[in-house]
Amino acid sequence: MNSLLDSSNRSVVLAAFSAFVVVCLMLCVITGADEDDRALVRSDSRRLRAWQQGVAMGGDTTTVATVTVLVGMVATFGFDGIGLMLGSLVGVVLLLLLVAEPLRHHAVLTPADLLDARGSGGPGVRVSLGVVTLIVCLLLLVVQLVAVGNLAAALFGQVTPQTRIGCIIVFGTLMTAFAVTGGIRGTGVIMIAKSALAIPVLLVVAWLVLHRFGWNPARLLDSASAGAGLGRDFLKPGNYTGDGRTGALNGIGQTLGMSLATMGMPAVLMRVISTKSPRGARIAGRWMLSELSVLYGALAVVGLGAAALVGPVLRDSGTGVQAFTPLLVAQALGRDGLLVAAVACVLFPTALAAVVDMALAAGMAVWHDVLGGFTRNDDNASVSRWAAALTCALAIVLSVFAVDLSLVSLSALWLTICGAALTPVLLYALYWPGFTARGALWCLWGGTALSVFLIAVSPYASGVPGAVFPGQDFRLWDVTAPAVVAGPAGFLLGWLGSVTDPQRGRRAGRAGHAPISAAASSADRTSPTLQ
Amino acid sequence: MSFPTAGSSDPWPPRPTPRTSSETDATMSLRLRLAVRVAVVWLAYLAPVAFAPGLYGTPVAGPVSLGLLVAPVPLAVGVHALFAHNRWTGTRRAS
Repeated sequence: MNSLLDSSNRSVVLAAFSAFVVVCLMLCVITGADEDDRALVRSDSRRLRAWQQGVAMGGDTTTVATVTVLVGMVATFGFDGIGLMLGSLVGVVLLLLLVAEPLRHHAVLTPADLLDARGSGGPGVRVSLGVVTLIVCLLLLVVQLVAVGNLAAALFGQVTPQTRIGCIIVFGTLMTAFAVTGGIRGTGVIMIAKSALAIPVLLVVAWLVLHRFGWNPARLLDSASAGAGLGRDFLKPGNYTGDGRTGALNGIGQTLGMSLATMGMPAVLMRVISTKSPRGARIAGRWMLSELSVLYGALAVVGLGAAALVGPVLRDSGTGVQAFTPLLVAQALGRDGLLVAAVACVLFPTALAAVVDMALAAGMAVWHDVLGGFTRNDDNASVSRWAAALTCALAIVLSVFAVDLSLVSLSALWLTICGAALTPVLLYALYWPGFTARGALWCLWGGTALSVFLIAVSPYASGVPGAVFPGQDFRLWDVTAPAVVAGPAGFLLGWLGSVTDPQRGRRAGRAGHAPISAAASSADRTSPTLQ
Repeated sequence: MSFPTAGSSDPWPPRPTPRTSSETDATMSLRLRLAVRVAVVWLAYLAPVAFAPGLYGTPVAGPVSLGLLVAPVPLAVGVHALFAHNRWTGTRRAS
């Protein structure tokens, strides 16, 4: 990949990225949380307008891994890549319908407030929800940091372990600085800046792809089918997920898992909660859906263009080169390397912005839920900053150790935990009056443990080249989308834990399971931040 | 794009919007109904992906396969549900 950028283009990319970092740091200082604020996510954050929060929420779901992997998936596997995008968009629709407005109505800082207000919370549930959220955020942070470390090292022509680790540390340090100084408003501004860069550049690339094929979609699809080497099967399901019973489970699990995980992503929920009002949350969700629709449309066209223009290169180089697909398309389209430089300039801010918001969400989980579950010390601004900083430091250390791990397995793990533990708890707390604290704990810990187990006995962990332990084989199944089992099991555990709860009848008798409308009015009594 | 000064804050904690119980319950019920509709259509779309991938691979309009042609359907149902929800909410607010 060293030939993607020549030395002058490398300088351009480095200069553009440095300028982006400087501007973002300035914006963070100007718009960030004040010293007299009680936390990084506080009243000032509510000053972001709904459309600004919506654009930032869209940015949360379009990480650099998403952009590169989705384009690579469409280019290599055709229909299966498009199905993933569709799964994400349906997840956003369900988030908008089911979660956004009522969550903003009841939660104060994190989703754990909702459980408290709903009568299915308590210190144990709060700490558990915080820990599971932290696990999800850390896994996602590790994936993003390692991915951007690999990408940066490759673009700068120095693919050595030292350079990759150096890039991880540099990006991680910048992430920490942004999250701690900016708070939710500062990181929101970074997200908006990133979207303002990324969407136009990707639209230009998509426009150039369509222009190359005479604005004839049939011609583009024909060329993509031929380039990918799949012929008529390019637009048939199963190229990635496989055939037979395993392929069927993979096919459902992949898209279902994407939808469930999108509904429970901690960074998105944090932004939903920090909108000005419940109506603002709904408007923000609409902006998010619009942004993602435009972005995914552009990515699909770029992916098809990649199959048509550089399909043989992608086939011959294996899956490792998928991360560079957008750059390869730009190289095929541009004559002077300027387009490659522009796409590279987009990928770096995209990587940085997504990890910043996730780091903030992780810091909030530690400060408000894990520490808050023990100490109730919510008034201290420095505690929230230290929590965010320490979480970022932990993510950097984990990323350095995970630099050679399979990122696909880590991605599958966070998606599965998010869909099997966080989303069921959220939906039950909002829509089932019978949901109890025990159900929440079963759901959180059962869903998490089951997700880890299913990944551990899958081809991600052993038995195939590229697995975490390729030399050993302790596979129990060949399914690579464990959400197909873990997701429904998470819902089942939540239900089972609640209906077998001996406290259930007693608490219901004294209105412990208040209707949600009644619980809303008691939110300010039950949340620890509301003194 | 403007960002008002930090510190000139909203009331904290934010107070829940006062609502009658029946209104909230009706809203939640509508949301659930619409979401179930979206989820059912989504699962119906996914079933052939898993169990009859050949069906979705059938070319129907040049290189466009049946699966690609019907892919916008779950999304369209979702967007319609959002419109329906917004219309209902607007009607309730106006009344």
